Amino acid sequence: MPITPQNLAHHELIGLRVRVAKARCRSYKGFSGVVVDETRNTLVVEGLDGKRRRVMKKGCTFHFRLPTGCIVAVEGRVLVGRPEDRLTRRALRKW
Amino acid sequence: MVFADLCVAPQAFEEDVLRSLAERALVLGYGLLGFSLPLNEPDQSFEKAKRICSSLGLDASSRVDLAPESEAELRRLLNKVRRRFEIVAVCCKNASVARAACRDRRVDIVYFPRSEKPLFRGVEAAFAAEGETAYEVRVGELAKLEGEGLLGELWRVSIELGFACREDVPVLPTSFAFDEFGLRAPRDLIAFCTTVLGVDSRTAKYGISRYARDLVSKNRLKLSSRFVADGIWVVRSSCGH
Repeated sequence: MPITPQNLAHHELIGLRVRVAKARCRSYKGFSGVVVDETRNTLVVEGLDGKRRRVMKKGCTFHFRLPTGCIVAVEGRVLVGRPEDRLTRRALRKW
Repeated sequence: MVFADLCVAPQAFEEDVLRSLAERALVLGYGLLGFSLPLNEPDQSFEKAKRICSSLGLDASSRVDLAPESEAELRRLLNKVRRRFEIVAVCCKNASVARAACRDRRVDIVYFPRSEKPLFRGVEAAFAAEGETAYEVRVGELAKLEGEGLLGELWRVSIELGFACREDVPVLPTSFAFDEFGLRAPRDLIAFCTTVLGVDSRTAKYGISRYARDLVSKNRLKLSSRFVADGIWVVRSSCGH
């Protein structure tokens, strides 16, 4: 199934380009790269310099670039949970 | 700091009334006005108000006040209006409506008409805090009362505000003005809430400044086509979305 803004929160994130747009921790802010791993509460992002950083999902807002070129902002709290559990999670609220 | 009065209710959406209201609001230090519109008011009325406000450098927001008699009616009205107005306020006439309105995330503001006993208590406050619903204090309405009526109302409102503050429910003082003479300055609203109703000045200030602006910007995002779901929105669309 192709990844779209509507199914992003339920989709596999590994391989997507990401930028930390907002973060409670100042050192995370502005960090960008490719998602290489994911746990329940963190994303592992490999930066352009090849360094890997583990970023907390909660408290951050991520900008994901989809393969189609579309940039989608996602609040980290929406992504909290194991990838296999997010798949079966209920649809997100429309308001 | 930009202040917001989220409840002005001009009786007629005429050019001169709206212009004098907006000019007065600007002098008083407001940056955002919430125009209370009747349900059947055509969209052109708000567009006119918005045009006048923007010509003066003010921001205008559309607001609707619902007064349902039952939970079912509240839900029906919310389904109808939520995607039409930026702010949805509910007048809670009875306990069941109060509880349902505080629980429903589509409701932004709750307020209570004159009554003998408080309808906003611990349970309602907990629901409101969870759903980020604000408790509105209509200062203009309270200031018009006299004698025993005023005492009774002040007693009821201060009890309700006590519950609201205990649960960290945002308190939103509004002037509820029909014309420019009814508008009250932000510091007057804060002073009334602090000295008469016993609200912490920081809470009152937060209500008419940051909370009000955040509420409107959040709802604007939700009403825009960029909004996907709670916590997800499109920043740059180049995928035919």
